[in-house]
Amino acid sequence: MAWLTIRTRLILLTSAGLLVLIATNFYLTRVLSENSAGMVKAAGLLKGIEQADSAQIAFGEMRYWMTDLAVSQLTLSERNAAAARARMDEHLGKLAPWNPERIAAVRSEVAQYDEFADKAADEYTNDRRVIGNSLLAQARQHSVIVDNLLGSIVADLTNEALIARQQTVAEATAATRLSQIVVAAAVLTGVLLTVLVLRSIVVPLRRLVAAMDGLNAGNVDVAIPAAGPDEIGAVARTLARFRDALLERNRREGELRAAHEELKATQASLIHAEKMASLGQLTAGIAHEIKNPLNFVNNFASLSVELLDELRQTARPAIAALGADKRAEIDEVIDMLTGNLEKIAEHGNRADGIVKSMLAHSRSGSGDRQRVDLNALIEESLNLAYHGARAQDHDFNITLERDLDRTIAPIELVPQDISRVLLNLFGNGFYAADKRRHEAADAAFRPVLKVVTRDLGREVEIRVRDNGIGIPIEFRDKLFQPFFTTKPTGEGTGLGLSISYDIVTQQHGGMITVDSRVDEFTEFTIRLPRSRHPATAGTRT
Amino acid sequence: MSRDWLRSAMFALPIVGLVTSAAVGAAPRSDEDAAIAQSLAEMLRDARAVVSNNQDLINNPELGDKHLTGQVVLDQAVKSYAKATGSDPATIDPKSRQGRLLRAMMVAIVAVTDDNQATINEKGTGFKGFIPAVFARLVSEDFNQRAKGEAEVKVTAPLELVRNRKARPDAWEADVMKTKLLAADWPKGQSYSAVVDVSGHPAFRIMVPEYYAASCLVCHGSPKGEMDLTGYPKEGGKVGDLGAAMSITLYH
Repeated sequence: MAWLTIRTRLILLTSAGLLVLIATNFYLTRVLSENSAGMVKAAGLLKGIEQADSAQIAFGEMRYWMTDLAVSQLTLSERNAAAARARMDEHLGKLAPWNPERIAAVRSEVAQYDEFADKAADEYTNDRRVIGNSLLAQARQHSVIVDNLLGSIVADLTNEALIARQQTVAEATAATRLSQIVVAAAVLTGVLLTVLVLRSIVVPLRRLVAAMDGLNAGNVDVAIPAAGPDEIGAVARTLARFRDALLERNRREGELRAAHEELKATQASLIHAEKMASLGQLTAGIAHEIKNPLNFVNNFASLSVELLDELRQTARPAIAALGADKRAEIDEVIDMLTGNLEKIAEHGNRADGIVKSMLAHSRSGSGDRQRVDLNALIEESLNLAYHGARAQDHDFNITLERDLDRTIAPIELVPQDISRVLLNLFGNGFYAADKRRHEAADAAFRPVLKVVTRDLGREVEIRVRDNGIGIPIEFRDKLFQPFFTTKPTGEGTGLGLSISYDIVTQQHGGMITVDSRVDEFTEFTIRLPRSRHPATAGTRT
Repeated sequence: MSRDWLRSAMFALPIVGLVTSAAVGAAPRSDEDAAIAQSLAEMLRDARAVVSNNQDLINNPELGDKHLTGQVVLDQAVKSYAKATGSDPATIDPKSRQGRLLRAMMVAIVAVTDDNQATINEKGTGFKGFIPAVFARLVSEDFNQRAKGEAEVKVTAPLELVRNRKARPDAWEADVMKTKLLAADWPKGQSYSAVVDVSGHPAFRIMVPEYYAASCLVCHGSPKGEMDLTGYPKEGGKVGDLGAAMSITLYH
């Protein structure tokens, strides 16, 4: 029914109801009119019966007075008879239209009766009783005929009236029954049509309301009823347009939000990169300035050891001349000086190592880019790291898992720098896993480090995951800052991840992120673009 | 209304019967005719008065033989006749026309009264219908039989006042009543007579008017149409109205 407008539906519904009403009314009016005609006919027949009865009564009175006249000779009887005759004439006159022939027959018989009765009365008046009786007997014969005629007329009229009444009643009953059926059918049809029309309005309206509620609640996937040509269809179309507008707005909002987030991330990254860069420059500057004095310290320490050895050689005869106690004391001092100088040299070398690393940091990006097999580079670095760790600590052990994408095509990068990054990450992973092994109450704990590579098309991904102690969330922002370390003093410079960050983001235009959960895992993800593009970087927790 | 009232009413007409008469037409034969007619009328009125005066006796249901025979009625009538006319009927020559007709009237009075002795003497019945009007009619009819071909007497009235169909006026009687007796300028009590042709024969006819007295109106007065004690509707008459006329025909 949706192909009709609601207004048309309501007009049709009302029109149908009115049509039934008018038709029923027209039919009932017609039947009532016919019924009324039947009743008028029946009433006319009853009137006829009344006239015939009255004529019979008048004739009876007339006969009575004529008979009375024969006996009493009273003119009163004569006048009464005449009056009765006049009444009878009047009643017969009213009956005449019903059946003129039969009424004429009655009149004829009445006239003959009257004639004989009049003559009889005259004979009685003239005292000729015998002939009077004879005439009256003849009159009586006509009166019997009049009685019979009037009786048959009454019977026929009664019969006709009965038939007319029965027909009227039958027609009225049939009309009543038919009108009841029509009304019942009209009511049923009306109810059905009303239900259909209401349903055709209410059901789509409910769908529309549900759709509006859904849209209102932000659910743009809510189903919007099909847009028919009716008013609800118009609303549905408007709602669909609204939904589309909402979708477009959401899409734009999403885009804006994404752009905003990207902007924020880029901004943070830029700030971070700037910070890193300035830190790197600072570190390089400091390293450069420290390098010379440190060289002096290291060189003079080494020289002093040599000089001290020369002193020992030179002073050996003099020392030998001394007493044993003095000799022992001098040897002890010289040994202590030598030991101190060696300590100075050792720590000076360590400081030199740090300074070299700092200088290397400042020098990053200076290597040559080469097309290399990334998986091979990873294998090499992993072996190097593992054996290095084993060399430092014979108890160290870890399960190495590899999930390397063999389809990765050679990628252009600076191999020694990426190797350095990998060594950093593997070393950190070994440290964390081993530390957990030492701290774990569970003897069954097995340190594991897993390396995964994936070719993502325009970039490649490297994941390094250990099941170590994890990184507390509060440290993650500082993770890539220079000199940040959680290792005990002397075990780490705090420059590994900072240098790695620079290598990946600044030098290779990639990104490095970290995901970790304390006492469960730490996973670093590196993405390196196949083609160099402006640096982007980010951290992820 | 008492029975006396009724009885008074029934013989009211005879009481008011007028004795005055005037013969119209100056011929000697007519004078004789008028005298004979007046004589017959007087005798009939007198006898009728006797019956009227004896209504209480006649209608007495407890009394059997009332001893009101024909002779008794005639004797009383003759007395009245002699008193009214100054002549004794016995002195009138029975062979004369007047004597013959008067005697016929007297015989008729006796015969009618005697013929109705059973009615008059009926015990247990009150009102017997033997009223002056009926008596006068019966006597007239009896007289007419006895004087057949010579004279006829009839008490009639204007058609609307006639109660018995036998008393209906004929055309001449109706016309006389309408044009003469009921005329506004007709002298009260004056008769009308004429010699007219009756069935091809000349005859002397006279109409003697009779007027309602107060006692008549019990049955013939107002309100018109109301039933009187005999069961007949009253005519609505007033005192002095023409109530009847005695019609006498003497054939020549």
